[in-house]
Amino acid sequence: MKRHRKFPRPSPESERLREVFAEAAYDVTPSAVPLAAIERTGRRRGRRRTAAVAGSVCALLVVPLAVVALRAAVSPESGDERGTSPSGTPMATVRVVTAGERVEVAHGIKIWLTEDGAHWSSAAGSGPLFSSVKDGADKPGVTVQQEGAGDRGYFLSGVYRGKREAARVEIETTAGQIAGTALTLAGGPRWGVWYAMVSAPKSVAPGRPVDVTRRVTVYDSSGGVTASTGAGR
Amino acid sequence: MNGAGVDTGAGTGGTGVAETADDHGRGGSPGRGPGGGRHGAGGRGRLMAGLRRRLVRRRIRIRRTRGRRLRRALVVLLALLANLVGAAVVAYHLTKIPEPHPETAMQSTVFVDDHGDYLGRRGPVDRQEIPLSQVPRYVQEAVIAAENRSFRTDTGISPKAIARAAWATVSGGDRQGGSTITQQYVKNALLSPEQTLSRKAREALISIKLDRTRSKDEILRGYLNTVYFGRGAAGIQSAARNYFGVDAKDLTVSQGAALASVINIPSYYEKAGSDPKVTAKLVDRWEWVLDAMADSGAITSAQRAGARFPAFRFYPPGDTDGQRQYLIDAAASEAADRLGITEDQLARGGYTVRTTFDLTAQDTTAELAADGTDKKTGDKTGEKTGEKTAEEKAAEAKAGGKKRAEVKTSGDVRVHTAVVALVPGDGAVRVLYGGADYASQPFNDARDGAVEAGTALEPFSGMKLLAPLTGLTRTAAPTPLRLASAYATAAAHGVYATPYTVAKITRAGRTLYEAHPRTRTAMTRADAGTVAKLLYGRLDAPLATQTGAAGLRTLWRTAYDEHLTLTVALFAEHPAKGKKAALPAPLPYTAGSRSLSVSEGVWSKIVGTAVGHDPAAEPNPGLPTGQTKPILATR
Repeated sequence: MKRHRKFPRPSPESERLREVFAEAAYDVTPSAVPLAAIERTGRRRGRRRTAAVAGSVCALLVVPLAVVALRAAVSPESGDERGTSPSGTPMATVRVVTAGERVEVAHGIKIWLTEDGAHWSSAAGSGPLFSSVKDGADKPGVTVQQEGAGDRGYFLSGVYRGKREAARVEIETTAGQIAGTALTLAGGPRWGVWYAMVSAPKSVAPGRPVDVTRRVTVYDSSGGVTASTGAGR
Repeated sequence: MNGAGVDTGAGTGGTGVAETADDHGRGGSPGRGPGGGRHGAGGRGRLMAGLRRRLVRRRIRIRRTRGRRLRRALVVLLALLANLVGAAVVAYHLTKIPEPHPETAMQSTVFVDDHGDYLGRRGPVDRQEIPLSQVPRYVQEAVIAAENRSFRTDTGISPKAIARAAWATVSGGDRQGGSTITQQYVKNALLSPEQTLSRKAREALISIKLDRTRSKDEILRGYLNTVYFGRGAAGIQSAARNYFGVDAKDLTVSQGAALASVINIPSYYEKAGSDPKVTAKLVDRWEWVLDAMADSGAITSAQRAGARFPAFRFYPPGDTDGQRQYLIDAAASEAADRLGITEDQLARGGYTVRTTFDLTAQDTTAELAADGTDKKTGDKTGEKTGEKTAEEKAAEAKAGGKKRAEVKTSGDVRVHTAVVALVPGDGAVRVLYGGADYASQPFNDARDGAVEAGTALEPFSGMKLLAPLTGLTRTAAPTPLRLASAYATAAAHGVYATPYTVAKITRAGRTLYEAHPRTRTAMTRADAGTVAKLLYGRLDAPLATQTGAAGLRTLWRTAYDEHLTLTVALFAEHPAKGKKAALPAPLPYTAGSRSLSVSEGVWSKIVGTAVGHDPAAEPNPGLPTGQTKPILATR
């Protein structure tokens, strides 16, 4: 009943028009279904779908492979060539030691720090050497000492006392400029020991004592000089 | 073929008949004429057309039923999802948060000297728990920035983090873990490290539950105290010591960020500082962590700009002089006694024992004792000289070629040096030197060695000493520690203070024990004055000194003032050989000067004033005042 109400009976005029149209339609011959065209369109659509799926699968496989390959090609270089920090400053060559921790810094040479100073011992030396930092003035400065190391050249070391914490050490020698290593106690005291190995000058007979150090400069982390042996000679 | 016939039979009648006929024809004998071939070609065409029609029909059918099938699939999926959710909810409620497994509960006990300098540790693992309040906030934030940036807001697991980690792995960005800090903590401390799917699922459930039942700070504290940092160190406190030689509370922003960066691959980054490639990679990661900290506001832009990559300790660390274990032995037994636990319990308990020792003075004592042996007793002992014994060579090899104070370089006489320095009226032991190398002689001559007193106790003769010094004058061979405490009593005007080596014991920031001097009157003030009058010798003498000896066998030297008592005892013996026991031997001629140099050197090191020359400082290359440039030696 509800349906009848929803779709009311058509008017007589509509009924008549329907009959006229039906009669006219009897005379119309339907055209042939464009099966070929429909088929073509369908095939085209199918091809497009196949191509899209194949492309997606290929991309899924190829992109990660390409990324991995690119990483492999790029990363070793960036790792090996890094001698400096990203900010451009040379990498710090400062090592922290605990009080009394003996570190073998060169063949047979050991250095250790205590709160009152630095100690050295070497296989050839008669006993540990001690350099106090308690009794002296607070003036910044660097001491230099040198020990022959046979064919390997010379072992250079000394105590530095700076205005700020050390970040790197540069040593100007007769053989050129070299980077040294600084040892300091934990907690950031402004003093420590620096050391480096330098090969003997060719003009000097092996084993003959010769002064190879020209200047030692200790830099802080901002690149400023915190201590140095003074003007070069 | 039969199948095709049946299928095509489902089509129009005519086609079906023709195809069936063709099918039969093709099934005939192979010796057919050309006409039969033509017939066969036509049949193949029809067959193809039939197949095409079948395909078309199937496509139409698929298209018409697509909606119905999709609806069915959706219903199945929803049912599956509902089941999974239900199972997860049930599993969550059934899951219990397990207790930390025993390995992660183990800790080590650390010993430090009276200035807080690290002496060493005892215990099966290098780990010490500390409260979160002792970890600077920026170190906490560095770890969060490195490991799990959504830690403060996530629910214990983070699908986003997993996706990001996967992307970082593929894209080549900085390696990130997919696990949250909570998950890592659960994995490290509560579960086994096996990599199975069921363990991962359990880990996720426990993580969620942990996150809902505990505060973020509690989880972070647990994580920071258990996570492995490389270099054998578990937990932030041990890591700070192993990488930078400081306590966690003293870490700087740079150091904190470096430690946070290490957690990712600790076994690789532990070589930082010595391996340039590793260091460069760690610098990259360190920068990345600092950037994240600056972005999140954990550090200011000024702190970020001022950060410099920190200096690391050596790995493996350098050795020590073989003295530390003597000190730790003495302090460990005393600490265990004070806490009423065994030494084993102490070692596993995670305590920090602050001792009374002065590490610098102890090191000086060891150097002076070794120095005296090599330089001064050398060939002047008057004893027969000869090759070193095999035992001596083996001991030297074991000690890594170190100088040996107790092994004389000539003859088969072993000279022993024992040194005790303590504070009169308090009892704190500053120096306890009882052997050159613990590895070859764990027995502590200073604490436990009975050394013939001879005339060393003569100043007390005729005096009435009270407990605990009662009977000391009748003791033929007191320990150097006991003798020193007697002179310390005299120095403190008759007040005896029990010698002690442990000043304070803490655990996880809580003080469990603090030493207080235990004193009692052991001699009258008048007797103490008599001893002082005798030993000061003259009125303006800076300190009282007494030397005593038992023939040529032992030599004692004690010096004291109101602040320090120092006793040096020297004795010599022929070492035991096979079944033959060790026998006393005469001391070398140089024993007197050696005793004096050790006494004066240690005194000046502790008190800070030289009473004589300091032999250790003789070859001092000078203070850093500029151009000093001595050439020390040439090899």
